[in-house]
Amino acid sequence: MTTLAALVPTHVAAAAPAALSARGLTKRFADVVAADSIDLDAHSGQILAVLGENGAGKSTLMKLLYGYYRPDSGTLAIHGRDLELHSPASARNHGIGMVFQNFTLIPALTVVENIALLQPGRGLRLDRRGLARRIDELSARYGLEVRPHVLVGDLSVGERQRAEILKVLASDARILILDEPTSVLAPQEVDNLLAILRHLRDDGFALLLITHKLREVFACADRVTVLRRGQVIGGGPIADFTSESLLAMMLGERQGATEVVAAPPAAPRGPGMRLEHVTALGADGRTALRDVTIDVPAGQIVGVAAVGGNGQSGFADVLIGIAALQAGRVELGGVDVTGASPASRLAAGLRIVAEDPVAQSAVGAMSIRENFMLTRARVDGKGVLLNLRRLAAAAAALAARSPFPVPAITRPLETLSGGNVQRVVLVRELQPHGRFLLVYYPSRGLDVASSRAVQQLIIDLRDQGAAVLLVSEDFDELEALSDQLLVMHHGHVVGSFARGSVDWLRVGRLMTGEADA
Amino acid sequence: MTVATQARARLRGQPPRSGWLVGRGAVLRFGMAVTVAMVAFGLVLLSESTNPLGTLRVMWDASVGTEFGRTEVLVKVIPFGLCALAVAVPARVGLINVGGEGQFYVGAWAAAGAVLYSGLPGWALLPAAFVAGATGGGAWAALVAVLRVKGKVNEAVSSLLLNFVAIQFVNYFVYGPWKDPRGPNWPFSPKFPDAAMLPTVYGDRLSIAIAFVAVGLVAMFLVLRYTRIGYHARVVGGNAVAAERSGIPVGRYLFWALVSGGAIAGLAGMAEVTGIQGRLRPGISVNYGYIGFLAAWLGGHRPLGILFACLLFGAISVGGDSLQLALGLPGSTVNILMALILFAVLAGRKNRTQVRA
Repeated sequence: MTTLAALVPTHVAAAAPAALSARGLTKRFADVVAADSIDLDAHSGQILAVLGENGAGKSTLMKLLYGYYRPDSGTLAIHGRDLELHSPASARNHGIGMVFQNFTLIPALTVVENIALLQPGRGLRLDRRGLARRIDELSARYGLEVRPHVLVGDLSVGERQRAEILKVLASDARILILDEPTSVLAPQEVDNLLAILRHLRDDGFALLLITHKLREVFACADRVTVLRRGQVIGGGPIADFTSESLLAMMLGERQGATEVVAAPPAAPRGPGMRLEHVTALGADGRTALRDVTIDVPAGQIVGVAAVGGNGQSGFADVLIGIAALQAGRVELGGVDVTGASPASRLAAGLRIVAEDPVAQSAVGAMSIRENFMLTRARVDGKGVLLNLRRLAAAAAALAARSPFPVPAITRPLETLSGGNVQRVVLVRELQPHGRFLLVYYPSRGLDVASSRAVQQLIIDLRDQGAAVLLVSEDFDELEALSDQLLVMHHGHVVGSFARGSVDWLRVGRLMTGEADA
Repeated sequence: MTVATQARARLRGQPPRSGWLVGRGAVLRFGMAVTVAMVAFGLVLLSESTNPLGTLRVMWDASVGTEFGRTEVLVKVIPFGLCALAVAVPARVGLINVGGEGQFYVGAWAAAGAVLYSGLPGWALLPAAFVAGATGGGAWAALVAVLRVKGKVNEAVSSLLLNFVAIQFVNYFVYGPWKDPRGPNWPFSPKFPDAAMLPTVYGDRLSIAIAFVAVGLVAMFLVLRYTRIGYHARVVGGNAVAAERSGIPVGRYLFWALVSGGAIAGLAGMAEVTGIQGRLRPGISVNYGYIGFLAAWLGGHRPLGILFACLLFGAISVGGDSLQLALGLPGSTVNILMALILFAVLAGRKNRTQVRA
């Protein structure tokens, strides 16, 4: 408690050095610059909102600030002193605390025991009573209500989050990083949390709020920094911005898109993929499709714009037939396949470019050739023996026909970069026999030439009569390819736009829950 | 993100590819690990004031050094190899079968039942015992498989626990209804007729069952490499989510891999009662199921690796029996050596999986 009382007064003078500042922070992964020369200042007694779309580099930035990644270049300073973070432990030693989106509490331990884990080294004995007293003080002061001696596994989501924040506070952190803290909360809990954050700010903490929700930014932030494609696009005191101007910065300039292939308009050609009033749980048991009706006619591309975790992941399991539908029906080519097996749906021509190709549609321990066979083997007959020679030839042909270079097909997949795994899966799934395509983030991790090639491939397949459902976070891509654009929020389809009539500001507001359908 | 996904891919890393060997340099690493284990074992012997070199000499002479010893090693390879296959087959679809011991017992029980109580003519007894042994072991494993596929019960735990049930199950029969009414009140079943004994191929103890091992190992290689189900099984083991999304019925593969493993362990039990014991009695397995488990992991769940591991463990086991006679050391001393070898080999693996950020 003494440390809290001794904190600098609220709303420090502008001359004081920032509690946490970054200069030129850069981090590259194999093919991608995830953080590109980022400058950022978080002051004590202020809430800095870091705003950006999914994939804008928010989580990379956070992990850099928390010592989880080490930057390729750039520097960090705390209260004007340069420092290097080697690990999250060293970040904690410097008073930086992180409240994770997926809580890092251990369900089988009580709140007190969990909080004890992060206490800086103090002998073997666990002073439950002393710690519980401290937790009581902190929770009373900031309205962080928890039951200290209850197992975390028995707590509600909101209570867990408060325990997570208490854990960070109890470890004497003065700089708090919150990773999309409201994404797991119900609306009334969100207001409660924002009040807590304002209280912490008034007590002199420096807060970094990672979010994509404008409402929260305006409800509590003092300053804002906007990220797009790994770069700081702009920022400043919140009073300088309106929600329109922030959205425009987040989404980028919409006019004159350059790096994508625009699809010429096309007419629908009969039934394609159809979801009718589908309600289904996602693989994580949380995000869900809620009463979703989508019609993707043959010869059309229907794009889906949504912030990550708003139900779009559910399309794959629903279409392939792994997810148990709670309600609704699924049609492929006018045929009801609601009860049909994955194999029969694949045989009908369903192809999926998965959201996470490494985890969902490839085998790391196998070669590229064997991964290609995952499609070929199920397509080529039913005999007991594999015709290895023919499969090898087919795999070689697949690689040769690929519109972009594919590594040697004998290489084990686990030796490839994320971008190359994406290429392998794209080449495998985007074949002429595909009639119903669900494509997630086709150009993710790809260079410009490869993404253009993929986009052209998708257009060609559409023109050959395929029904394409395209989920993407790249608005240029969505705008250029989609014959119809849907917006999803919280598992619902909340907006629909025809080609050429997309109002991106409205799309942004719908995606982030700012506007109602 | 790419770093994380690659790490995940590595963590999922099943034994890569389907070759006979783990990879280039595998033999060298294996040899070094065995040497390290031998040295550590020597230290243990020293602490018991036993001359390590003399001990190794005794073990060598008893196992590899004589024709009798070499035959005995092959006799051990029968239960070791089959029990290792019982672990390796489910392992290739990502399952851990610790139930070889129980499946062995139930296989032996079923084979004995077929021999003693089926009333079949002599020529049909061995085929019936074969089918019964495989069915018994497979059915025992099917319990585990159903729990795993339908109830998501961890197969390592349930298969291990069922071992104890299986042993008591066999005990019930040999102490009760199947006890030899003409015997000296020991918990033995009646002796099998000669027609129910497996023919020997060398000496009077090495039975034709050694061919089961050979066929099993070769079949495992061929199936994994050249058949559709083998390929699908490897996909299931490599990434079950991708398998499911590719239309492969994952649950069915898990089920049948466990049942096949159980059937193979059941055959080991059948081979023991019809090849060596000639009757059912308690304690027919000297930890064969568990040694097979070690051998499978030592051999990387690959046929040739398993063969080497079984030959090695066979030699150690036969050598260990002689330690008791020649040096008065407890027979379990060699268990230390087997465990040390496994640890050394696991620690020396090249692509050790490790948790990364």
